[in-house]
Amino acid sequence: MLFNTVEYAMFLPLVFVLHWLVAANRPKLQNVLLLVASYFFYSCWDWRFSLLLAFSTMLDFTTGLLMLRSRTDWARRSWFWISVIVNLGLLGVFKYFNFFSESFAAALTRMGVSVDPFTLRVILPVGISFYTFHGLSYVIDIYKRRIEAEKDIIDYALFVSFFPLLVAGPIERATHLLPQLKTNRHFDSSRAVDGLRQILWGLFKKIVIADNCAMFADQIFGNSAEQTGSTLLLGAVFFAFQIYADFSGYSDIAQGTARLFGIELLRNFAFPYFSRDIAEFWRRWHISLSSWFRDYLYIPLGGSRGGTAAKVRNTFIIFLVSGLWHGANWTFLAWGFLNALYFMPLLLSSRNRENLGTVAQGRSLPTTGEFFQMATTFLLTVMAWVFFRANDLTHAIQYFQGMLSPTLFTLPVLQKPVTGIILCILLGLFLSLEWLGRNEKYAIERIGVTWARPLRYSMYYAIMAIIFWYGGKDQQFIYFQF
Amino acid sequence: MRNFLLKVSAFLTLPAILILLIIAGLDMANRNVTERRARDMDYANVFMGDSHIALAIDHSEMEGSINIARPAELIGHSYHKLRSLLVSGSGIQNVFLGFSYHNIAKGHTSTIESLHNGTIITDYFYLHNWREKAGMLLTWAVTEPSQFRTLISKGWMNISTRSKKLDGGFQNTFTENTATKSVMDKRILTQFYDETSGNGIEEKNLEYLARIKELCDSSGVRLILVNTPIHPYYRSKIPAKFVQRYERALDSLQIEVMDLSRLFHDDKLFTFDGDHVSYEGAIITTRHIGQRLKLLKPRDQITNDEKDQHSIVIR
Repeated sequence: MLFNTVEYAMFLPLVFVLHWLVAANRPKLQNVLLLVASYFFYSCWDWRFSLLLAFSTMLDFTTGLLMLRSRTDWARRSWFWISVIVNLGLLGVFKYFNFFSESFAAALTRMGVSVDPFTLRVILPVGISFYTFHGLSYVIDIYKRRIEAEKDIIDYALFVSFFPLLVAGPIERATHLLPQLKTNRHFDSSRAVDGLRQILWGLFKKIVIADNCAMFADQIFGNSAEQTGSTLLLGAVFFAFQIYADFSGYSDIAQGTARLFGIELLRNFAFPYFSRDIAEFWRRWHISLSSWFRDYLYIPLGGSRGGTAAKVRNTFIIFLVSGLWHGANWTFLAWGFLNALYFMPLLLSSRNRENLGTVAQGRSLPTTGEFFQMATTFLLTVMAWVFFRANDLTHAIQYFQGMLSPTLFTLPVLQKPVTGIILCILLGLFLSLEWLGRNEKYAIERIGVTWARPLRYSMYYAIMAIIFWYGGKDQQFIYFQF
Repeated sequence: MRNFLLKVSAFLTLPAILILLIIAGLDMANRNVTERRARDMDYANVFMGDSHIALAIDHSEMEGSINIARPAELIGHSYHKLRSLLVSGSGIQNVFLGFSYHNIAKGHTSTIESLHNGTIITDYFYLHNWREKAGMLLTWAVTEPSQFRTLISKGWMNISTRSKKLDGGFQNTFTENTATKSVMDKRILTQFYDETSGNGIEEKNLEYLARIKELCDSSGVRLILVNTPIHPYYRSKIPAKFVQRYERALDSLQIEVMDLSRLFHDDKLFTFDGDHVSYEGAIITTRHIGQRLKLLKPRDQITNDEKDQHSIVIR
């Protein structure tokens, strides 16, 4: 059940009404209801996946309690490692086993030893990377004594499986979400309206921007050998907007949905394409994952403490692991590596924390310098996205070769030029709204809020009309595959 | 909470009503266009059906005839199209409907329905009666709301082109090709075998054929089915049960058939799939039908001896 389907449009109001009318003022019942709804939501993909989710939940819940009751450090550490190893083991089996097995066999073949790789015939359970990371953060926080182990299985299970964040995040922390699940939630009309507004904006991003960009990006990447350099560059730009609008649109819908139930989720995107350098980009892109790696990998590795070599090593580790987290493919590793390379000049010159605030604060337009910085950062990320989107490394290299040819300076050729022009206009509108709302949680959070109702409603209807009329062909959310 | 629900419901109902009103308005305008188009249809012979007819009959070579066949037109679509044409004032005397073995195959029908669901079905939406339209709208509302957008754009397009898009017509660009066994094998699989529906008979297409017969009878129009030429290899691969069911259905409905399925067998006269005629094949088919048309006698005047000469089998 995808967020952009009729099924979800029926499921969500039903759960909403039950949550606020039937289970009103009964927090325990509200949580049970949300838990049942979440498992139903997840089972819509494949009911067997929910068994794995239940197992993962029970594992972390139990080891959390066992750590709490352990009398010796050795016992605590044992339970902790059991949880970590089983969690990562599951992720490894489902997501990485075939990749490593095939890569190992290929390496042996190159050395003259012919081996048939042993592969598993398993499908990747939707959202496994996300809920595994939920669970891992929970057990790590208990082990580090940052939180107490949760004693209520319903609350904990809901923390792991809450349907808005179950399949593609944001990757929540127990410290942030669990306390919200334990409080008595009361219906707040203005908060619910805000949630709906964010859902509307998320749908606009996904259906209008991402799905339309996907149409061109798929066509250009799919026939990259036949395209001119400028068309390939445009294809990469379209993919950059596709992946941003797709994933941040998903996150907006998730956050808006959670807000309907009185729950705030972690922020996942903060207008990353308005970043002035790569470090700022990574503070604004997939924030819940970046901060997860920062807190649970980068800092334990030593972070930016220690010498230059340690900092460089830790940065490369974090970017490579981040690439690998996205999928078992060399292209993701290359994407992570390239981003680490981009990061190096900033790290080595200690300028990686230069741009902490929002660009053009208090001004309506950026300075020429800021504009140049944003354009450069965007172009760098576009180049990196080529690795992310390419089928394999050879495809990515050929894509770059095609792009950096003399035809780069010709006019791009699109299969449907009129649709392409309409899309560029829509992208202009999208970027303008994002720019106007760059200080908010999402672009249209404050736009029109103080306007008279007819004017405000007209704006919402205009967005709905654009979704209705210019919505692209249905596409699955990209991050569901991770 | 209740106040919030009411507000949201009202907020969402307004655009839904607006969309329905637009569709209703387009429906009325389309009806006018369709009626005008039917009155202007000053042809005695109308050829209709799917790509088999669209590729085979060059109506410009036959006086008083028009080919309004469209690729991927299902027999149900042809029924609605014909119904819109057979209004008072239309000069149609003979309807030549392309109907072959694939038209009763589930595989063929489900392929068309799944591949072209949005594009094909919405083309014919405004020709349906209000009850069928309501059913389609309801289905799309819960399964594929994006169809509403297609409906609006198609409705508008029909008006601006005066419904000419539905007229289809002769189209054949296959000038340099020849029937190929591997393609024919593939074609047989998609037409007569379907992973989900098996190699079953699509009964609803036969029901539509009966309705077309009834419609023609009640309008005083003569219905003649045309089984266009098919390659001998392709023909040999058609499962026997389709041929038998086809024959049985036509027998029971007492429909005249112009069976051209064995008209020629040269590879060059067919497209790669052996199921359609090439441009050269179309010239021969058109010439052949033209000659038969000149000899066409009123149905009640055809004697048993003349049946073969006319290449029309009266069932």
